[in-house]
Amino acid sequence: MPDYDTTRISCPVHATIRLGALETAILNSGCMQRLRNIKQLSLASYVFPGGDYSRLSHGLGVLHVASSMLTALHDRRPDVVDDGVIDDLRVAALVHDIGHLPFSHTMEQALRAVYEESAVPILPAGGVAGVESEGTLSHEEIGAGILRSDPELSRLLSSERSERIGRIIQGDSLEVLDYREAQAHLGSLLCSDLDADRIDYLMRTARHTGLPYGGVDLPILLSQIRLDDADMVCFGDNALHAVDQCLISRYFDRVTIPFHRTVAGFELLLQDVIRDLIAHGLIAADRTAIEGMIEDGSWVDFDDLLLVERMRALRDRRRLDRQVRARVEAILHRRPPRLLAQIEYVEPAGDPSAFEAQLDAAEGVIAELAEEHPEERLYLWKQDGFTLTSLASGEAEHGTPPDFDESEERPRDVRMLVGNRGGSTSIRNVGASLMTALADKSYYAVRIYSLTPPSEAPSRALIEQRLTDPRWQFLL
Amino acid sequence: MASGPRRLIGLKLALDTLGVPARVDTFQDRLALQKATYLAQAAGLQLGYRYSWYLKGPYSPDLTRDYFRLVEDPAIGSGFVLGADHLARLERLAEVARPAPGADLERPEWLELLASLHYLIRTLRKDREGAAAVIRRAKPHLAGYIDEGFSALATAALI
Repeated sequence: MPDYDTTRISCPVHATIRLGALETAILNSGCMQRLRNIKQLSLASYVFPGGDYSRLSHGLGVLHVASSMLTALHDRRPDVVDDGVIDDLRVAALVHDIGHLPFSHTMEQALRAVYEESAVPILPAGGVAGVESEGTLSHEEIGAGILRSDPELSRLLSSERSERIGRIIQGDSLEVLDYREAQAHLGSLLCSDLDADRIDYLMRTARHTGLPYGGVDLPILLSQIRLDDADMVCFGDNALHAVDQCLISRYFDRVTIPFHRTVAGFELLLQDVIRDLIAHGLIAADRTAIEGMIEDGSWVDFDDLLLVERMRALRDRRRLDRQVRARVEAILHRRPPRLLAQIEYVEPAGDPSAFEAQLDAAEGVIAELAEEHPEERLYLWKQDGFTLTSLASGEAEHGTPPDFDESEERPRDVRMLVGNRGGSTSIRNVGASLMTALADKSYYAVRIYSLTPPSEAPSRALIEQRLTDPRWQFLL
Repeated sequence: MASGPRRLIGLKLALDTLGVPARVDTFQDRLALQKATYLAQAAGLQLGYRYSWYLKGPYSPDLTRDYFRLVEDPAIGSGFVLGADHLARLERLAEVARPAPGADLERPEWLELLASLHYLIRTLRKDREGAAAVIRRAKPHLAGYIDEGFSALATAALI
């Protein structure tokens, strides 16, 4: 294996991260350096002040973890995990977030709401078609576009290699990217329920926020990582509890940080503010605008700092709707929205009607209050079935349908070796795993927030009257 | 990420136009939904589902949430229509979305073939021989119908 030792970078999570010459050049490119100004956790630092690390440091961490996994697999199976695939997966790990938007997933969600909903060409029967949006791009698609078009990166990577790495970060199986058949499943090191991305995220977030939920026993994972008899990435028996812990840690991380009542409230406001910035012509991020920024090089300035600057410009406009000004100032000056009421519970998935009843009740209250207090802006936040085990699959919240094809419909499950014959199976099928008991459980929550000062608070009586389930908490 | 109402309505109208029932009872049902939705997007209907290649061709995890919702609420889409231009494109696609005459394939496999060939050509930028080689290697049960698949995609102006 190459030594990848052109540059050594100190890291609070992994001690020392080593980069080769190509990786160093990529790290120094404008598009990678831009990630210094994209916070991984968006506004979580409003509540956890240490949680302000960047996507640049995370990218380096993912490279380190992916490289450690690849080295462990190379030691066992050098015939499969060769230098070529290691080179490519290391680069893919480093650049996997290169297409992230300012404020990361919060902005991505806002853009999807703004551009993609209006891109769907439907109209009421007998109606007239309106103006259609052209949609927007996911951060993975933007990343692939940067790799394809950025002049600086184009000098470092051949067009074929850029294309391949762009497809890896979008989740394509290596099978169709001209790698050898035995290497088909190695992409799961960057795209599965327990991949290098998630491992570094858990470790880094725990380290920076000071919260204890992201413990990862990386040494045991590395000692137990294997390729099964079909060359799928899996873990040996001795890693079972370490894998369980990681998957459960993802649940605790989610409910503790992004679902934290204040963090979630700020993120709701921020989504509204991003829509305001678009509506006032201060930013544009539809498909054409993003491609244009990559093309003309202005993408490297499209970061958290630029959005804050645009928020200030919006706030300083003389004629501005009172509510818009209030929410922009709330973001700029850290004035959290008030949580008025919330319900949260964990239940077996499969019957969404109970959750929908709570959601309908909350939406009804918001509609009534909006009528009585039109100056008020209430926010609804919901989680409709986040799986406890973080095992990715759409069926989780609906129960497993009959005739399930595990390999196609759960391609990202963590796999464990079975017995000593060399085969592997999803961790959900391993009797000793907590996942077998928890995989069908989901977290549900509904919250109502308000930006109105307490002196103008809406009617507590109405909210309590309408939300009758005893699990509702009122925080007026 | 939760889908907005327009996306769900658009999805339902697209499936109706293609004659693919919103059923999830069997793997074949879900395979047909996945591949039909992919092809509808390939025909220009922007629904915003992101696909990548897993084992049986292009697959969208986002979509799995939404087709369960369609099953739960069969009324989704009523009172709405697709814009005329998009409807025409989907109707053109619908003409080739059934197995070619003489092809001994069920409809889900036919849709799998079309979606896979399209993805290999358009997204992965392979030439026809490269795409055919992947199908022969990864999907031997479809290998005998590759030419018919290319022909159908060309008829629908997708390649």
